[in-house]
Amino acid sequence: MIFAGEEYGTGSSRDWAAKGTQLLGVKAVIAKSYERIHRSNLVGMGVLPLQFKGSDTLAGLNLNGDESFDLTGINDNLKPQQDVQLSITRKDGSRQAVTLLLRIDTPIEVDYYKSGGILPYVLKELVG
Amino acid sequence: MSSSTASHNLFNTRQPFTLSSGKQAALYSLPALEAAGIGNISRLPVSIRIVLESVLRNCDGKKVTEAHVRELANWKPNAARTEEIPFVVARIVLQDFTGVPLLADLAAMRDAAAKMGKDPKVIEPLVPVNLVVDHSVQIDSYNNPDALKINMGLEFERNTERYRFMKWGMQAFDTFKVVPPGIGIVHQVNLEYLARGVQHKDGVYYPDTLVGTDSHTTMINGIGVVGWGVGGIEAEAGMLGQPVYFLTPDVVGVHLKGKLREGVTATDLVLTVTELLRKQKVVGKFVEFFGEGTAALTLPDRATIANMAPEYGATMGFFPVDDVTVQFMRNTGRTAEEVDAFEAYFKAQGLFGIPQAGSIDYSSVVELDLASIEPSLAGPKRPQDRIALAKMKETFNTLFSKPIAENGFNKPAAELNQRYVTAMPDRDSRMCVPISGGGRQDGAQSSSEMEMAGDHPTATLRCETSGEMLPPVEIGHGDVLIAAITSCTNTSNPGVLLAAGLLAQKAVAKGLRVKPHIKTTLAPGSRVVTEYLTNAGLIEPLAQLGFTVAAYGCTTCIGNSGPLDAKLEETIVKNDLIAAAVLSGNRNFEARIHANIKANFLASPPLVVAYAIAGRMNINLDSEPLGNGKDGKPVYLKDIWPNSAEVQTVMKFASDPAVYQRLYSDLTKDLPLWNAIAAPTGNQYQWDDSTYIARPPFFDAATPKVGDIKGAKALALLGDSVTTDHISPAGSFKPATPAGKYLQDHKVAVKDFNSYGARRGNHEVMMRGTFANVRIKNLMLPTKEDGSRIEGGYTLYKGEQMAIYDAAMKHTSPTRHPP
Repeated sequence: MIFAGEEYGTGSSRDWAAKGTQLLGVKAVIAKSYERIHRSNLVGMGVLPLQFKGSDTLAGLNLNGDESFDLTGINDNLKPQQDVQLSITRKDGSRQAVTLLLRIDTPIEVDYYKSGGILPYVLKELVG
Repeated sequence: MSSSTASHNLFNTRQPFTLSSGKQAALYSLPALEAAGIGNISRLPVSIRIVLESVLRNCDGKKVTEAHVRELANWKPNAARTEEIPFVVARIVLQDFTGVPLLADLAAMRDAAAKMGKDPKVIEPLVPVNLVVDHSVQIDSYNNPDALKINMGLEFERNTERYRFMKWGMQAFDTFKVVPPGIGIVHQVNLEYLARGVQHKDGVYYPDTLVGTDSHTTMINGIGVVGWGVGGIEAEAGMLGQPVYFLTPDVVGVHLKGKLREGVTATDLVLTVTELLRKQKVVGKFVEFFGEGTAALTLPDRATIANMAPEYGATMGFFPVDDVTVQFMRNTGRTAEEVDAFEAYFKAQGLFGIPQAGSIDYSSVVELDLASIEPSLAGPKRPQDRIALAKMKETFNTLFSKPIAENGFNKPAAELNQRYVTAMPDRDSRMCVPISGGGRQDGAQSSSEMEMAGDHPTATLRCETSGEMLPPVEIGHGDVLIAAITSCTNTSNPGVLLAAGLLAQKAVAKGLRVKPHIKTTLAPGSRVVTEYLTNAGLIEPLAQLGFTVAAYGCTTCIGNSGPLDAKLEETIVKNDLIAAAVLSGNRNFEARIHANIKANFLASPPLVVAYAIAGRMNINLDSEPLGNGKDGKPVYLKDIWPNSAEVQTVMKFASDPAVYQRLYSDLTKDLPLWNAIAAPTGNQYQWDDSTYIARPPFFDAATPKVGDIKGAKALALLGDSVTTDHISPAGSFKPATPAGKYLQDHKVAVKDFNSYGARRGNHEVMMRGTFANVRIKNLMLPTKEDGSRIEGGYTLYKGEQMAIYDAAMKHTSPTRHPP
C-alpha cells in the first residue's frame, strides 16, 4: 500500500504513474485527497483509491512502516463511494480500526476494478 | 469487431438526414433534443453542443446515462462545476513517444486472446487511432543541402528498435495506423489529412472529435473539431472505447473584431491572444472564438491560434465550422463526398457558421480588436510574455540585469556589450562529446513543460572530426545562435511561411547573409510546405540564408535542437553568456530549447529570418538596419518585409488539392530508410529481447477475486502534493537506480541509457522507475541529524533501507515469509 496526504497525483498525467504503481504490486493507495485524473487512472489499472474521512489524516495514524494492514468490506457487491474498513496491526500487537471512503466513483469503475482494470475489462468484452 | 453502434432513440433524437447525393443517413439531432424540451440548446456554446451530441449518441445507461444528457443540455454559463462529463471521442491521435506503450498493450492483448484460443484479429482499437512519428528527429546537420538526409539517417540509427515495432503495428492493425517518420508533425498531418470532416458508422453520422497525447492537439480546434491533449493512459481508455472524463467547463467567448493591419501576422496575433487570455485566467476552460473578426480569419490563422491553447492555459481554443472551414477541406484534397457530408451535417445540426455577438450565452466574454495587434515576439522565458518588435532591444537589455524573480538574467550591466572569441578548433583531436540539446527537467509546471522533459529523446554521444568545426568567431550576450523555423504552430501556416520565403528572397537580392555559426533550420509541418515553397520559388532563397529543410518533425521546439559547435558551447558556458534562440515555436522555457541557450524568443517565421540576418536580439528592427546590402547601404526590415498583396500572389501554391492528395496517397513511397527496416509481420508480434519494447504483463494474471486485502504492508508513507512526476519521473536516470542496473544487466552502456520517456515501451524499465524520483520523500525513513530526510525512491523493508522497487519485489515475492 501507498499512504499519502492531500492532492495525491497532481501534475500532468503520466502514462506510467498508475501502471507502474500496479506493477509494483500496490493494491491500494490511501490518501487525504486525489487529483481527478490520477484517481481515475488508478481504478483503470485495478488499484483501489481510498480516502481518509473527516479529520483523519496520515499523520494522525503515527505509522512508521512496520505495521500490517487489512482492508475489509471489499466484495462482489462493491458500491461506488462506499466505506471500507482499514485495520492496522502494530508491531506491539495493538490494533486500530479506521473507516475509509472508497474512491471508486461510478458503476463502470466498479466493473473495471472487478476485472482487474480497463485492459482486462476490454479484453473480456472483445473476446466475449 | 466494432464497438456497439448507437441505435437508441432517446427523446426522439435519432433523425433522418439527407446527403447532397440524395443518400439517406441518420444523426442524433440537437434541434430535436431542444424540441423535446430538454434544454435551451441553441444558445449553448458550439463546443458544448458538439460534446453534447457525443453524450447523447453514446447514451447506453451505463457509461453514459440520460442524466448526463440532461445535465449537459442544461449547461449554465456560470455554475459550480462538480459534474464530470463522459466523452466518447471519434478517434485518437498519438505521437511516437506516447504511442509505443499503447501499441505494446494492444500487441499483448492479441497474445492474450490467442492464448484463450480466440482469433487475435478480434483485438483492434475500438476507436480509430493514428500514430504520427514526429518527436524523435534531432538537428545534427543544418545549413546543408543534405541536412534532411543526414538527420533522418541518424534518427533511424538511434530509433531502430522502436521503429521496427511501429512498422509491425502498421501492418498488423486495421484501426491503428502509423504515419512514419519524415512525413510531418502530428497536428499538421491531422489538419491536412487525418481529419476527414464528419465520421459515420452504420449510417449514423457524427462530428469528428478526438483526444491526442500531445498538448498542442488543440490545433485541430481550428477546423471545428473538439479535442485536446490528454495523458497516455486516458488516450488508451479512449482507444478502448471508454469515455474520457472531464470536469464540466466554463466557456469563455472571445469576440474578435476588425482586421489585422498591413504587415501584421498570425504569429503576432496568437502571441497577443496568449498574453491576453493568460491574464483572463482561462485554465481548465474552453475558449470559443466568435464575431466578425473571427469569421474573417483564414483557416491556417485559426489553427495557429487554436494551437497555442496550452500556452494561454485553456483546454481548447475552438473555432466553429463555417464556409472558410469547408473551403479549406476542399483545398486540402478531401473528397467531394467528404466535404459535402461535412457541410450538410453541420447545417442540419444548426452548428454552421461563426456565431455573432449576443447569440450564445458564454461564461464570460473577452473582446479583442484585431486592428490593435502589433508585430510581436514573446520571451525570453515564457510564451505569455509578449514584447512589441520596437521594444525588443530595450527589453533584452533591461532583463539582462534584472533579478531572476523579475524574469531577468541577473547579470552586471557593465558586461552587456562585452564580446568573446571562441577558441581555435583542435585540429588534431577527434572529439567525442555527449550531444547537447534541450529538455532540462527540473521545475516543470505546465503540461507543455513536462512534455519537453518527458516526450523527447535524450542525446547520445557524437564524435566529429575537427574538420567540421567552425573557425573562431566572436559572440556576445543577446547573439542569436539558433534561428529555427519550426513547430506545429507556424510551419503549418502558408501565410507566414510564404512571407518568410519572400523576405528571404528580398534579403538575398539585397546581398544580406546569415553568419554560418547560427544554427538555422527549416522544419516544415509537412511535405506540402516544401512543395509550395518550391513551387513559389522560395525554397532556394531560404536555403541561401541557411534555412535548408532539416527535418519533418518537432525538432527545436521540443528541445531536439541538437548540439551547437563545441567551441561555441564552451565559450557560452565558460563566460555564462546569455545567448539567444529565435524560433517560430510555441514555447521557450529556459534551457529547454537548448541546455546552454538561456534567452528564447518566439516569433513569426519572417521575423526568425530577420533576426538571423541581424544576428542579435538586442536590436530595434524599427530603427536599426539588419545589415548592409551589397551596395554598402544599410538595409532595414521595412525594406524587405513582404506586403500582404505579395503574400497573396503566392498563396495559390498552398491550396492545390492535387498536391495534398498526391503527398498523402502513399505514406511510405519516399521513405527508403523506413522501407529498409526489417520488421516482423503477422497478427502477433514476435517479441525479442529489446530494452525499448517488451510485452507488458497486464493480461498475465487471472481475473482477480474481488475480496478483502489481508496482511498488506506500507511501501511508502508520503506527504502532501505528491505529483505524477514523483510517481513516474521523466528524463534521464542514474546507473545506480533500479532502472539503470536493469539496463546495465542487459548490456546497455550508460551513454545509451536514453530517457524514461523513450523507454516507456518497456515495462521492466518503467516499473523500476516508479517512485524513483530523486526528490520523493518517504516519511518511513528516519530523519537525519539535521532534521532533514533522505530523498529519493527509498523505503524500509524489515528495517533495511532499499529502493522502493526492490522492496516491492520482496513484498510480492511468493517465497517471502510472513512477518
